[in-house]
Amino acid sequence: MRTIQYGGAGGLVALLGVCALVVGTARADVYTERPGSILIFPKVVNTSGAEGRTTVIQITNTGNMADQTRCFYVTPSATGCAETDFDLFLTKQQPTSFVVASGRGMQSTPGLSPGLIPPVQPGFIGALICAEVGPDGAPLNMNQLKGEATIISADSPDESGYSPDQSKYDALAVQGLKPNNNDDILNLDGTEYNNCPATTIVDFQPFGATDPIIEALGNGGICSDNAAPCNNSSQCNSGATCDTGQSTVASVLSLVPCNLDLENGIATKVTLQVKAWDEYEVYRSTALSFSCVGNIDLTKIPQLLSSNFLPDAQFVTMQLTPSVGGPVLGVLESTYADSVGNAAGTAANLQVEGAGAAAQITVPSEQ
Amino acid sequence: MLKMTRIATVSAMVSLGAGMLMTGLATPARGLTTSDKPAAILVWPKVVVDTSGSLGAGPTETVIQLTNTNTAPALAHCFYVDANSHCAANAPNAGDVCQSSLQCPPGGPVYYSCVPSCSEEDFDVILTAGQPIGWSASAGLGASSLITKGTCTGLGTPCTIDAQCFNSTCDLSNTNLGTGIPPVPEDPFAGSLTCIEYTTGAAPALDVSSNTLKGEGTIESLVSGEPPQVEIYNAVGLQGTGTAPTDPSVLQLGGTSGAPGSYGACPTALILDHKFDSASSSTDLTLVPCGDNFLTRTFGNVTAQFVVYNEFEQRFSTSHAVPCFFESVISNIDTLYSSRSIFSQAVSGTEFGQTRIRGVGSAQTGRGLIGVARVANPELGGSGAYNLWEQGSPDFTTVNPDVITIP
Repeated sequence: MRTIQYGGAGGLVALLGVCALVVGTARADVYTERPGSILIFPKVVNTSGAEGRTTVIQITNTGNMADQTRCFYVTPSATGCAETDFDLFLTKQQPTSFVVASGRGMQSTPGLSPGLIPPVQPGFIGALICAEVGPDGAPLNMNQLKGEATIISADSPDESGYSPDQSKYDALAVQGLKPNNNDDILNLDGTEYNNCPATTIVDFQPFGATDPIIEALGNGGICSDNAAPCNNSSQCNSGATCDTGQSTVASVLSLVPCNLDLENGIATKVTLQVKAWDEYEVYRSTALSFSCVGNIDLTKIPQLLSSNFLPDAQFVTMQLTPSVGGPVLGVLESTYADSVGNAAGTAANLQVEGAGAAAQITVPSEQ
Repeated sequence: MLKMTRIATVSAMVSLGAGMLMTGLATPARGLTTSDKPAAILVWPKVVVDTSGSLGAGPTETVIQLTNTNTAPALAHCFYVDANSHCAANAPNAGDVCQSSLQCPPGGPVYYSCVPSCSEEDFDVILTAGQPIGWSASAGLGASSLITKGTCTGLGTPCTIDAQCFNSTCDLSNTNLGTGIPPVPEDPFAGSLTCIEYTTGAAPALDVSSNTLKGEGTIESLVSGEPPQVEIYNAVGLQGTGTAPTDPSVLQLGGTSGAPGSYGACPTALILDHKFDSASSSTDLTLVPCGDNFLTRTFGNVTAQFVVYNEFEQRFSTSHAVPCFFESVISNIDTLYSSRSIFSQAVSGTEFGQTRIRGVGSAQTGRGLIGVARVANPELGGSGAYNLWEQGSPDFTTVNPDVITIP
């Protein structure tokens, strides 16, 4: 065994974290793995047509006390940012779920009904935000909520609503930090609720790069004579070759600002500074902007295409820092396709760093 | 392999590079595991390879992504844990990878034991500042995909030795030299990957302060004529606390104020929200112990207790051993007959459930667990992976912290 002697451990001795259930020492960050008082689902879709998809939302009360929440669907509108809200009531340890395309009636599915949940309109692309409230509807910090979202193909669903393509991500949970002042302004400032992050880190494969697994094991090419899918030339007719390198990875970044005025429906305009590096340290920068809720197709950002990095580069890390509009939260959904378009989607939670500027979510008051 | 022959000083501060982000600052430690923030130890609980598709799910591969979010280079010392079972020595196909005795040999007529085992293989990855890399588990990563040339100091021209720099020296500090990522030791392969952050230089030392590593695992299965099945999860991180270990080969995860750990603790409980298994949906759960002894190859051994709640708040429970690696469809955790499982929709009576997973046991490596889940439609295909949630910080006055012992 090697012996390593330390001449002196310089630096700080950080405090160990406390139990996540305890509302105590402020951590200026957002979790995707610990229950909180605000849940944010950055990507909720209900689209129709040949590639229509919808979203299954799962919300669980992880505590041993009943928990009430107010939830808000948020989507861009002609006048700014529209919201539709509803209430959920969960008993202790109760999980519940609903499909956004159909909502949930009082007796529509087995289980204790958490309350009436309205469906979203066709074509909905937005986000869902849920905040713990007390019996009077005023915000409350119990840090008992967790959630997941599964985005499924709307085509040919089975009896439970699941179908071939599905992408799943964890909701982002913001922890409440002290007894809430119970007003309709949720301060994500490190005193009432945790801050949102200062920086979001996105790792992805730039559009134009191939998927190494499909190229190695699947149909990464097409035969030169009949365009049949192939992995290598031995799978093509005699004399024909397999033109490989046809697989693609396309990514969409879904973002929601932590500054939200749901009472007045005013859309927050956000600008993010983007810095990206490939595995050969080639550096690119750009800016991204959106209003209310952002769904940014990375295949349409020239600075982030594979052609803008070294030819062999397959992986890019991108850091997003807000310059206008305050901090954001998001998820990344990537679609992997082979040479003939057979595709599968997958969603990934993003990594975050640092404490962002203070933000506010203003909710409509209970009448 | 790491060579540490001199006294090393652990530095807690990371210098900022001009033009780089402020995220190069050392990140204060958190008490529990994280899947959304850079850390000092990363665990990929599920790494699976089956390039020939011999296990029946089609050719399967895992792409490992590892990123250094720091403005300075970082070294990751990594361990593959091979959790394949093998046919017993007296089987006709002794040593073959198997999943059950029915494969020892396939078709019988006499079936021999399928013997579980755990082994490890380690390697180093040196990352330049801010660098993302990725590799297929079955292939590893060769030099052609890495930065192997330095730059002449003051000249900026590429070089590999000082002689190539006119009146200057060749700076190799910002390269991947020293990286050697092997393919996984077997194909098929099922196991996990753990990477531990070190400083770079002539005498690498454990870096318990910077917390700059992040990672993802992408698992793809390809069946001819069907859409690919792709799922991605975040590597689970253990953040360094800034407290250097007394023995740098013994990494303590969590601790008391009198005996603090060098890294955050694994949580008391993991929380899995899932659809109960049915003909149209199955959830696959992978668990690995937090602690391992890579030195003596005495891997973690934890008993996982499962408490299951359905949407009526009704409660069931069961338990299962987790020796170095455990993967199962949830309706096979408590029984071989899925329709009779407490994880089945037929038994639970509702579509969705919440399962709380708690580790118990007295292994010296600890009782913490790390996991990842995958939901799939067995009939139509389609799958998605997701990280588990966590709750509760262990009371280390009554239980031993998890420990990772490294060579």
